[in-house]
Amino acid sequence: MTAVTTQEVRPQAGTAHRRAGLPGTLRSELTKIISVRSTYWALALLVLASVVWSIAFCAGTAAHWAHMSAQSRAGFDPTQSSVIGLVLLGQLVIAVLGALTITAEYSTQAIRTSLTVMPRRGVVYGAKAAVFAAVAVAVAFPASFLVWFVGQRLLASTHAEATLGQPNVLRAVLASAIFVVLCGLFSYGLGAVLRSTAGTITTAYGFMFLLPQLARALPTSWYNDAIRWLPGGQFDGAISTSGPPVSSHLFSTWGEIAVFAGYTAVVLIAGAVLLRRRDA
Amino acid sequence: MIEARSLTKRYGQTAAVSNLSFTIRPGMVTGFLGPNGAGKTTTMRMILGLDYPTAGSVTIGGVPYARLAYPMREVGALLEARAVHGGRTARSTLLSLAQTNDISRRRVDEVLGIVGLTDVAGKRSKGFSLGMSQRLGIAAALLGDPQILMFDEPVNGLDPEGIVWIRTFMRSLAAEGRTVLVSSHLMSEMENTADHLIVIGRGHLIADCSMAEFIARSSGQAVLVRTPQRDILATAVAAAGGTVSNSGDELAVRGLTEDQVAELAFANGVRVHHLAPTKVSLEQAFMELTADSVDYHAELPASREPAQQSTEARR
Repeated sequence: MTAVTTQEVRPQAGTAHRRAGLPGTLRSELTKIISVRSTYWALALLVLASVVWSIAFCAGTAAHWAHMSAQSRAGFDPTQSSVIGLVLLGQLVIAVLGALTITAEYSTQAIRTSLTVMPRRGVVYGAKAAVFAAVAVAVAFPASFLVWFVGQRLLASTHAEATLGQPNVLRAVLASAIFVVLCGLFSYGLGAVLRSTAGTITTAYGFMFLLPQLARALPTSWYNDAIRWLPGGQFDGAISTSGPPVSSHLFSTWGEIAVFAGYTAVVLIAGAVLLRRRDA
Repeated sequence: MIEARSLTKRYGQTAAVSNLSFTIRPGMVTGFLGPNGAGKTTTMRMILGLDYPTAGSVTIGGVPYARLAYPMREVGALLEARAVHGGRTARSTLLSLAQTNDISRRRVDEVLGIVGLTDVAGKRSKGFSLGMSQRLGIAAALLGDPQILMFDEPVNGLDPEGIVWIRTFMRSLAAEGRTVLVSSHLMSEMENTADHLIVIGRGHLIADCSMAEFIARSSGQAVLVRTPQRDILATAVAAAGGTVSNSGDELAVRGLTEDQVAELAFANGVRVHHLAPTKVSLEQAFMELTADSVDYHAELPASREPAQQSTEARR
């Protein structure tokens, strides 16, 4: 309680030419992301929702397999059915987490402290993005394989289950995880632009879900030209394993990932430019 | 040492800070005073590189803030005590800040001890009282053991115990030779804390002087005398070159010191029941100097207790 003087050993800079930079800021951002419960809740929800979807879809299909027509059986894509939950539900969750990585600092005004202790704003922005991406990768890829394995196990009775060695299966599993990671980064960049949690999540969902739906109002020929260029419009099609994506209007799987990565890059750059230019 | 030169910040047509130049020196507490909306926080943000000046510049020891190698080791700032993620523990909050400037974990525990938060270091700051949040904010400012400390309205909303603690703490930091800048709209607080004052109103510099000078500048220091022999004393005072006016049941003497008035009374055989100099408070001096610069004038009540009322209004 007494006003103790702060005569303790002054933390030394080591050598004079050094300065605070990316390594320390990366450690700091890692501390931040692992020291709040919402991170764990969100990631657990992401995995749980995806697994439940995979179980429901694949177990349901297995139960009805005997009653399904040969045509339906032929059209059934065991890989897509098991990982689609991760893509659709995982996006919802990761978009929130990506947004919160930066908008939570704006809502609490902690961003001012962050930019005071590390005034090189690009370093702060980059460190946040890198740490978030690392966490997203660490969860999305194992989750993707997990839901795929769970799905195939449940489909075993149908003898229609996929193996990783079959054409396009590994591609679909990896692409699902990549889409999820990109969604998170897209939302993070958007968060830096909009600086509000609600605004960011609403806008991110609008881009990823609403836009493809609105596009259906276009004349068919226009829609077919437009859909492959929309962020999020092509996710489910792009993870199909039946040779070319289900919708022949889409680019290849990697092509669609490149399109979405392009949008993500644009938003991330916009966020960086605005963070550096605007008053905090 | 903080140096501002012609610092200006405009938002559209409105100038929040206009052509502000000042130097904040080490070894003392500098009070940064002004009514709400005077531009104090904007100025502090510009010092910290958070807001970009429209014109002019501000440097820390000659260097713009953003170019400091280890900012936390040069400047510690507390802008807003509640500006932390409530879901994080006190220790994690401090650790995440320390890591950016390569400051050790040991130092985190040290500052927790200095501000008296060791017992709640593992608790999430969501449940902290305002006083505890202020301590956490001060701990963050102290992490790099900086020579310059800045506190924006540090006593806002604190209980008397917390106010005394912060005041003592700031004084001890200055006594160690550090530069301490404290902003406040509470004049009474500055009176007990600051050695030097920088007063602004509507973004303009009104005064940059020592506390004593600031008070002396204001008019009307008087000696109040209660005596049954008013007329005799009034005549004597007038003869000695002072002026007299009635102040309730007392006589207010201006132009003479209290010693002079006492001598006059004794020489003229006047019985004195009470004799005291009026203390011109910083409050009054401030009100006089900033009368024109308050953005929104409230109807002043008959009895002037602006400090009390403004604190009440803020709650």
